[in-house]
Amino acid sequence: MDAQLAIQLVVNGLTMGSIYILMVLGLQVIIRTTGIVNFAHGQFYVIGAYAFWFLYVLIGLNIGLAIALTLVVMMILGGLSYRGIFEFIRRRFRPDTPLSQKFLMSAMASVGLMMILARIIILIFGSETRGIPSMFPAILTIGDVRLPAERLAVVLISTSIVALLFLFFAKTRLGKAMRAVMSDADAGSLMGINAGRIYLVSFAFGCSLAGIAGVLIGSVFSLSPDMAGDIMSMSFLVMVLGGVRSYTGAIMGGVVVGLALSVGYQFLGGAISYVVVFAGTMLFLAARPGGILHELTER
Amino acid sequence: MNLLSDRQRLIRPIALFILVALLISVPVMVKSPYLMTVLIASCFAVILGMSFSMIYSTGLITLGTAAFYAIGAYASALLIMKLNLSFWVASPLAIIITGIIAFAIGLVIIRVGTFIFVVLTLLFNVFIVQICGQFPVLGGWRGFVNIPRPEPISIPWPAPIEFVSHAAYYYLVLFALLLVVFISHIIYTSRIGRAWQMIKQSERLAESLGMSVYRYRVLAFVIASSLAGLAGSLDAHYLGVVYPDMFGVFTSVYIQVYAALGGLGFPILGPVIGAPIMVIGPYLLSDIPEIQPIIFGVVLIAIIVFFPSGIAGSLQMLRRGYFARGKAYEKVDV
Repeated sequence: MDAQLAIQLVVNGLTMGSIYILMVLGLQVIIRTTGIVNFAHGQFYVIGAYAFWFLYVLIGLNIGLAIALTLVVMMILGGLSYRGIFEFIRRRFRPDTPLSQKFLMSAMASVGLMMILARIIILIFGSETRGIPSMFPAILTIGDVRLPAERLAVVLISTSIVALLFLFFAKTRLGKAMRAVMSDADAGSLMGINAGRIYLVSFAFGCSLAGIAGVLIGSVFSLSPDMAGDIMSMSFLVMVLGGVRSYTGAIMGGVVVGLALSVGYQFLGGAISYVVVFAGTMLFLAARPGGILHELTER
Repeated sequence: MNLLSDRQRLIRPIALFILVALLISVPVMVKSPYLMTVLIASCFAVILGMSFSMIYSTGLITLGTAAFYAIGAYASALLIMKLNLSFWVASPLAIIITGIIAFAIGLVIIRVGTFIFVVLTLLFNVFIVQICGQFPVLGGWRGFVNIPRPEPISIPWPAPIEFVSHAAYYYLVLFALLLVVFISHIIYTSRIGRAWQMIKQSERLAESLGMSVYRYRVLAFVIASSLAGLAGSLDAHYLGVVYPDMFGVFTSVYIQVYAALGGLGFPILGPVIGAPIMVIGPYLLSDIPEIQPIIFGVVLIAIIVFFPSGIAGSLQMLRRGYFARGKAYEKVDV
């Protein structure tokens, strides 16, 4: 394998990997604060991509404005679906309800939401594929290695988003409040944190992360409504591979799966590499149920 | 079962008898072939819903029922079309194959805990659809067509039964359904069923009494998946076609709705009530197949938010007067 191919494969792998990482971080923020497993997350990703396509391509807004509006739309949608559906579910959780039990309770409602949103997306935007013109159409040439700039941009942007996310959790008041609610909502309430509002905020926050992932993917691949299923199964795979309660694990899992799929796609073909990744994840989890970082000790 | 009052002991067999008599007389009353198709489809839906409920009765939620439905359908179709076996050999073999695959998969994915189990069953479903679609040996995305109907049974009187008409196939499916109900009833009232019930209520308590939660769950997973395999095998020969998109994750979600609408606390009665409603309902609203997923989604959310115990559970609570005492939500164990 020559160097050029290797670098291209790595960049492709990291591109998909960083999309997975953004998706999984959004899922994890929601799971860790509210205990809700959002199967509709893939639909939020598609809605983000289509909202950006609508604002940027169809209406022709400035790119910064389009991204900002997309984020606002995602937050409103996330907040609405939390208030409309998931708050009723979360109210039935007790402090000692195990994560698996919370999962059972929220899974069905979010699967219902997933089906509704999936059909609404097709009804509004149609089922044909759409393209977003590349934001960075240049092709970088380093030596004899040619790389599309947009893929590097996706990797760089998501890396900086992840870094900002870590800073947000470590430094800001809101981030600290979210972490407090994650570890113990009752104790957080006693410290004067409005836990109900934190739940709402973190749900909207997780949905907007999915929206960002959708915006980023729009510049690399064409959009279609059925991409929700693929991204959903892959991000759940990455999440359980990395460890459900570990952001670092999610990042490692995303990089591993992205690289594995990119290399597998080149040498084995799409279907077989998918099969290999799935079987590998199952065997890995059988040996190590907590995922890479083994932070989910609860059964 | 010995908790029943005398009145219930008298009423139940009579109600059951009337229900079965009604089901048997359906082909006499219903003449529309389309409606017969829908009724047969709802029998499959009941079996699939019972498969979901059986896994749920051990405290696990699966999003992979359609994967085993697919395995049953494909195994049966392949055995007949490639090996030229008779339906009466291929169908049991398909069920056994489904059971073996479920055993191998279950050994791995039940170990990892209830939380990851859901995700892995979902992934397994996607995986099976991909495998069926990507490999030409398995028919590719177009699947198989012209899967033959079962061979006639040669009984001397009144005539050999041929499974060409809807009515004859309806009886075959109904027989399978009643058999499944009967067997499940035996399982649920046996030692195994009581163990499952205990595991669902408290995994830790069951374990501390020396039960192997893992083994009981694998057992439930294998039996339930074989049921889905049975439905798949019968369905493949009824429709005559199988293709991967029949068995997507949405199908698994539909199956979940079949069980949840009737009542998740009622592993047999729940699907028997819920599945026909969800299959025949869209038939009555057949002008709007476009928004059918929206109907399913809204129903699912409404059940989970407002009636977590389903139709059967709500009726039972109504009868016991829990609503009057305002305790409806505390009695719910979804």
